[in-house]
Amino acid sequence: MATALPIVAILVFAVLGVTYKLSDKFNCDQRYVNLFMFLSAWTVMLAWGLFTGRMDLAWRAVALGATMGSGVYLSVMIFRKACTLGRISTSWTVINLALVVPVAASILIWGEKPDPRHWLGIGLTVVAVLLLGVDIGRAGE
Amino acid sequence: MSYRRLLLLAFLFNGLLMIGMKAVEELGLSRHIALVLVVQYGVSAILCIPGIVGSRKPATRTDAWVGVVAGLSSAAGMTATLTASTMIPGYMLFPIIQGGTMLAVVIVGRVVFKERVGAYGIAGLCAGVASIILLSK
Repeated sequence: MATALPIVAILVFAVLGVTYKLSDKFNCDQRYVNLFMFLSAWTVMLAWGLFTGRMDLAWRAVALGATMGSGVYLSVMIFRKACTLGRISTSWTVINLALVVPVAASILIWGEKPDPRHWLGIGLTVVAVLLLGVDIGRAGE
Repeated sequence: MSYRRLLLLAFLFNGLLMIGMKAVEELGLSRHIALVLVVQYGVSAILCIPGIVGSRKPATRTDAWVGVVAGLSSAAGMTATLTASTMIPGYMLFPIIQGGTMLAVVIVGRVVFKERVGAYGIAGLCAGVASIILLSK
């Protein structure tokens, strides 16, 4: 289960990444695409929550969800604006490099302790993001 | 606002979002993942509405189906990530998912959209695969 979940997440997030490419290709109106995206996700999660009986009210969950929802919206809008002002490869790389924030929080706030092999893996992920960012930039030139 | 400041904000918001995912487990809200995501997507949808009200351009069918596919993928991905965060340390989970997704998108771009992958891209793919192998053990 613990191994399967990240694989599922990677596959479905890859589909999400492809929809960004498709919306570009088909010249979609991003405002509508985002609205349909949030509404369909909301519908599915509500149905799943009701079906599994896990929708009992918890105010901390509501507060966290509202904070994350505002963050998702702002993140999407800021990314779109950044893409109009600068190179998409730079914006894309910076967005992906944000993975160091939760990694740092996991280590510094929640006291998780990576071993040397995991540190190497984290470092290589950052290197991979930077190299792929350079490649996208070169392809766009 | 300058491009650099926008990038910094995008970096921080994206990073804080991932901290929010980790916080679900740390705050003992694992049982309430569905509620967290219902509120999250609801708030995001509501915030989208002012940008659309008054728009003279109607939505197309393509906007709708691309949005729905994106929404279903996002919901499935978030549920899997939040559930996995209760079992896997954050320092492993986020690089694996972020790095793995990036690799998968590049590979799909190459295979489906016939996008060119240069030397830097191939080196990046190798580094990404190596990082996932190292983090998975």
